[in-house]
Amino acid sequence: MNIRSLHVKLSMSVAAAALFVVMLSSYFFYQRAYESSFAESERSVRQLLETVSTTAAIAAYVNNEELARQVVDGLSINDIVVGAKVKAGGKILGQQGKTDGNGMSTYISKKLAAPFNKHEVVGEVGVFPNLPLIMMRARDSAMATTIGLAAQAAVVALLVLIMVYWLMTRPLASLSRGLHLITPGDGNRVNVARVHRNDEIGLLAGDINVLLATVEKMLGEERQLRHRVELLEHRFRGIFEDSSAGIFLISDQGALVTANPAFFKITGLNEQTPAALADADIIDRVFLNPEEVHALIASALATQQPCSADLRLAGTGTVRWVHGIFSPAGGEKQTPTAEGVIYDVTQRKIDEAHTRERAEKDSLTGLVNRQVVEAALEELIEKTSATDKGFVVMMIDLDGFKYINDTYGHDAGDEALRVVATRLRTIVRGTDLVSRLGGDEFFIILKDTNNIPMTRDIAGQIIDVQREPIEIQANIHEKIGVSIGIALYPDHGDNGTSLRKHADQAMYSVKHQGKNDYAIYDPDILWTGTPNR
Amino acid sequence: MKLKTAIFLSFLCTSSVVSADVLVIVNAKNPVENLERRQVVDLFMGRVTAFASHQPAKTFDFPSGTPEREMFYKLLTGKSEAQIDAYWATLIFAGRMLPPKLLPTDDAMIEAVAQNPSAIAYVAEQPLPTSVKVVMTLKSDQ
Repeated sequence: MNIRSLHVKLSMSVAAAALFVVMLSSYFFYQRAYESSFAESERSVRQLLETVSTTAAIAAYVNNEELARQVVDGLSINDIVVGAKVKAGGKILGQQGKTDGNGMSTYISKKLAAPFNKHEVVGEVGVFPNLPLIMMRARDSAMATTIGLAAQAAVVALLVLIMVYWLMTRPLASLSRGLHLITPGDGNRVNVARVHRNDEIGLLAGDINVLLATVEKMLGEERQLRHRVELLEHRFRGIFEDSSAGIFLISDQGALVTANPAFFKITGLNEQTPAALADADIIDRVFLNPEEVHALIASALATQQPCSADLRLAGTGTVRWVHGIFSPAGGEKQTPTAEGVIYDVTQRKIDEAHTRERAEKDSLTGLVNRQVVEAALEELIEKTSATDKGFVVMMIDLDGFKYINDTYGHDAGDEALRVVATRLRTIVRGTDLVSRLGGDEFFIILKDTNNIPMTRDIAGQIIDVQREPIEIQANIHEKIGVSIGIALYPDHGDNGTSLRKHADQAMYSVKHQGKNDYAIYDPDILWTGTPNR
Repeated sequence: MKLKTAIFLSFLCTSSVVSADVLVIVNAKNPVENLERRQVVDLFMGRVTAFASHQPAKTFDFPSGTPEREMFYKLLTGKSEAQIDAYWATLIFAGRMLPPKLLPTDDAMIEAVAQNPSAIAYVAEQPLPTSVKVVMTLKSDQ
């Protein structure tokens, strides 16, 4: 930016205007001065004629050539006269210099009245003015006037220029330069000289300063606001980035829009190639059961409510579970997207499974416990219709278990229980239920059978397998017999309690009759006796 | 003002000359009977040196400063004596021109005219000898 340009422009304008005025006025004043000077010369010539007219009149009156000669000599002395003559009654009385009017020369003459009778014309006196000289003088005079005028105009223009420069251009340029150097917000203000305090420049400077102050205030507020927004963004980004839960946005088509590092950590996807992930259906790649997830997302978008479920991740290796919450995200204008939050619940799942196992299984033998048996009985009775075969229950009690416990200690007893449990498990089918009710009592449910011969066969096998001695301690082997009571559903009871009671009664009848045998409940026999342990 | 002038004029008349009128006279033998004012002026101012009859004319004048002379030129040309003197001074300086011959008294003037047939002169109104004749009368109240 050329700061001097304003002054240059102004100078050029003033110079041009001054030149124009000078030229115009020069032309005008030259003409005026020339004409005036010319008229002045003519007046001078006429005054000369006036001066000599009395003498010339006398000369003409008396026809005195001597006097006339004196008159014309006197006239010719003047440099503005090139020729003069005195005529008396048509006769030239005296003449000097140029006397013939050859067009160019203007003959100026005066009638001469008789000295004693002003009504009588006695002749005339006339001169030929020195026109070149008069014109030259007129030119010189006009030129001098014009030059003076031009000089005056130039001086006035210069003074105007200087005044304008001092009073306007310089303070304006100073103001402009000052403003140019100010960056809004740096606290600087434009200064103005004291003389301009009360004029437009001072007003302009004041307004600029007010504007600067306003801009500065707004900038400050803007900066504060931006700082606050940045802080908030930083915090939210921190929450997003550092969250242990995987947070991600997906389109309703299942393409990944964005995700935080935890998402990639949980899913095991490569964070470096999100572009490749954007096209693929991320749901298909991440979850073992994508249809369930798609259904969840669709539900969330349809109901505008978060939907959540425990979901198993796809991938070989260890089984991993996450809890996923899907919520609708994005405004109405955008394509529908869903926000997903997943966090690893594998450990919780494992813990839950362990807890369930602990609640259902006997920790010593690995068989299911009494609660499972009761639940299974209820379930079986409920599921088995009249047309089905029914099922068989066996109550098994070890013979001489107390002796082993007392003789070899609890560890030996526990070993005996474990071996028996394993042997029972090997004899029955996988679908059948083998459980330990507590102490040395076992309970078996043979599903889908009312075949008594097969039942007897299995009971016989159980008794047979127990003939093998058990190494209850190192190099100590003991044989443990079993007493088995059998009841059939629905023949021997229509509920679990009744079935177990009847199997129990049959088992005790075996105990009374010598042990190591089995008995099938017979409703026609009056079962007596109680467990004597 | 007019009264004062009248008193002054009457004083002048009574003290120096008998009458206010001035008579222009020539020799009785001069054929000229009558002269106009212009002709008298031309003769006395040196423009014309002869009468209409081509007879040469010789003018006679009173000396400068006399009441007769002042009165004559005043009545004849309306100019003062000083102006007349200046006129003659201009012509004398240029040369070849002479003013009228000067005579001191009326009697000398009349005598000169009576003696010279070419003469022309002026005197205050008075009885004149027959040897001269009046060719023009300048009335003082004109």
